[in-house]
Amino acid sequence: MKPTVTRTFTTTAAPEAVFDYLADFTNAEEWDPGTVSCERTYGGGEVGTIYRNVSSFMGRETQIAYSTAELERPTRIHFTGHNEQFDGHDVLGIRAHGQGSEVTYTAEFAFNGVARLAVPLVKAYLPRLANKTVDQLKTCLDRLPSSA
Amino acid sequence: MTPYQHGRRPPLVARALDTAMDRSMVLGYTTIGLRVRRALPGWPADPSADALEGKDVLVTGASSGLGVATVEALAALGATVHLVVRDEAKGERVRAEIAQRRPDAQLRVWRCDVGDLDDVRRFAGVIGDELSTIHAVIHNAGVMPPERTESAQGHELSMAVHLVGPVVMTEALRPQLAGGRVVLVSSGGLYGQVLRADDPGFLDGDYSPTTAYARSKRMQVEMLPILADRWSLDGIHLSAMHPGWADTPGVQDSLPRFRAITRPVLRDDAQGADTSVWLVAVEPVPPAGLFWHDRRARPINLLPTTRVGQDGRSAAWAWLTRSTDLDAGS
Repeated sequence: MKPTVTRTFTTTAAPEAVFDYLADFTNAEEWDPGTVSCERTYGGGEVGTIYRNVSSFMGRETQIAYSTAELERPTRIHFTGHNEQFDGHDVLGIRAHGQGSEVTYTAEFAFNGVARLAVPLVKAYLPRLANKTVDQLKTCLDRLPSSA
Repeated sequence: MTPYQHGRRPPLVARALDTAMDRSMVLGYTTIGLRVRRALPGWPADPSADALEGKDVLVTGASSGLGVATVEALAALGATVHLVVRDEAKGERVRAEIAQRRPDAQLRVWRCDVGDLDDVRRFAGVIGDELSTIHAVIHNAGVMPPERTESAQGHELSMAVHLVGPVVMTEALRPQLAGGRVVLVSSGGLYGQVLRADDPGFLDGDYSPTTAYARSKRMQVEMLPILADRWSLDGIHLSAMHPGWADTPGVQDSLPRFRAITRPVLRDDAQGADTSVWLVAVEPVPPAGLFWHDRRARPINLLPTTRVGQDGRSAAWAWLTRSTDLDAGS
């Protein structure tokens, strides 16, 4: 089984606001502690859009091409990330919850070649990374508008 | 992920015993499991006696096994229960039997073949015109075809009856179900099957009735969180549950050997229906998107080999979206 981490949290932001913010992956610069920079290199945000993401992961900077695999406004977002050593999925499920939302964030990682040696280390590190990511993500989302 | 606990957390020993019974299956899923759990401290409270007074609840597959017990328990809580059945004459007999036992029960019989999407859409249109508000739907209808069978729309029949039909019916009734509850009756058999997004029609390999059945139940719970997100926009709470091992006509016909061994400890229908009824009647409403058994949220995987990656779940969701025309509706 590939290293996977899932976290569910609530935010005061409405599902549509959460969706619009997260569907634009350039916002990962703000909400993802691992992202150093993220720019759009192809497309306008729809399925098939490609982003160049520079992430710092366990002390090393790597470039990952992300693309938008699924978008279902306002409940489902799925990005896939790829480079020579890495294949990953970021999936966000957004559920109406009172005036705000409940967000389930799932990150799945797969490593190719020598990078596979890092899997046990990544598995050990993932829970901490996930907690940090979710804290920052929630802070960013709570600034967005809630349902009327 | 830690399964959600509804209400007050029971003491540690009670929780440990409950979980141990669940993982052993034989203890947890039989009548023993439910009896012990009911006696343990922290057993979630029953719904109030008039919890469903004045509310309309639909039960599919209402004319046999768990369906009959579900209808009767809902009626006892004051609901107007709509028996959704394929065979209207049989449904009428069941209605009359229940009415004899419970003269005050509000019961109606509707014909719908859940395995045929045209009929599901027709039915949803008719009942949706008549009822402006529906409190809940319990998708209880089940089949275990002895040979591989296709629905009118070309879906493998257990997948059609257990997932495709229920999704289309729920989607069509979203306005009426706003703020309401939907339950998918699943099966513990899913624990032995991995999601087969590559073959939802069971076209590869030798068909087996029990495998097809369990695969369709696996597909239900894998799609559960995504569907729960979707329908949350209308305030609809979607849950799935499994009844344990009950002595139903399905088990009697399809699993005679299993029944011969386990019969003394199989649950009766009312025990099997307990969690479905609890999910639609209890206040406050339990959180959506979870898989329940004996009034507690349970994991959807007990074996590492049934865990599926995001690719598989996405492919299954794409298949379900196409099969149910969800795109067109949104």
